[in-house]
Amino acid sequence: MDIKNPPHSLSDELVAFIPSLRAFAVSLSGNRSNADDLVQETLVKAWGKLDSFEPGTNLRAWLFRILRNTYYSELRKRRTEHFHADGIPAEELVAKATQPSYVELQEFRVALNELCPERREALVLVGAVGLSYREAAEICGCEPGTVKSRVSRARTELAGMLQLDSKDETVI
Amino acid sequence: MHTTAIQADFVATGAPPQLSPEVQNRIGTHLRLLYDQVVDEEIPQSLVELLRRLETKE
Repeated sequence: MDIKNPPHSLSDELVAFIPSLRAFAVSLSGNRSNADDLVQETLVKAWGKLDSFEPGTNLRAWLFRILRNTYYSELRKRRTEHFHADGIPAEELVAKATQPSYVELQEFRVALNELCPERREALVLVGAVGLSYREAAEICGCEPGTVKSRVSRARTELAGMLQLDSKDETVI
Repeated sequence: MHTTAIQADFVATGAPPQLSPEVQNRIGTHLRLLYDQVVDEEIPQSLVELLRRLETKE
């Protein structure tokens, strides 16, 4: 790819990643408006350093890595500020009949936001995005074993917060 | 099975050493639902326009 003269499809290519970047950003920041700011900053940064992207490697991983690094540097800047889940209009969370109830999902979202960012991102990358430990580790800049351990801890913490173990299976 | 850091953490936090497959599945389902809800949302036009602006600046 000629980076100096990107093909006309380059922005289209990046547009295709916006949905997953937004979803990852919401899971990190727990808030839609912060998430869109985060995606915006990620796109600007990505565009500015396209020459550091190695063609043929994983563009999604590269973009996710820029996004999470941006998130963490913002987080460090305003260390005292804690992101809270915003009120998502109910209609956005209306679940299909066979899926968990609205209340159940809300509770889950709140619990997810209680996790520390490192565990939350590991859990989301593996559990929601469906990445391997290795891919997730590449994004988080750590070892696959560390991701695995964070995912386990995150699951255990969630199960504890939501008392999943003690609930009657038929209730859910 | 050898003792791992994960198990050591479970001991430290008093959490159960292993979650049942049902609980793991339920967590997975919730995670994917929340994630996919955002993925399925319409892309904010401002982000698309941002990319177009970046492209025309080149």
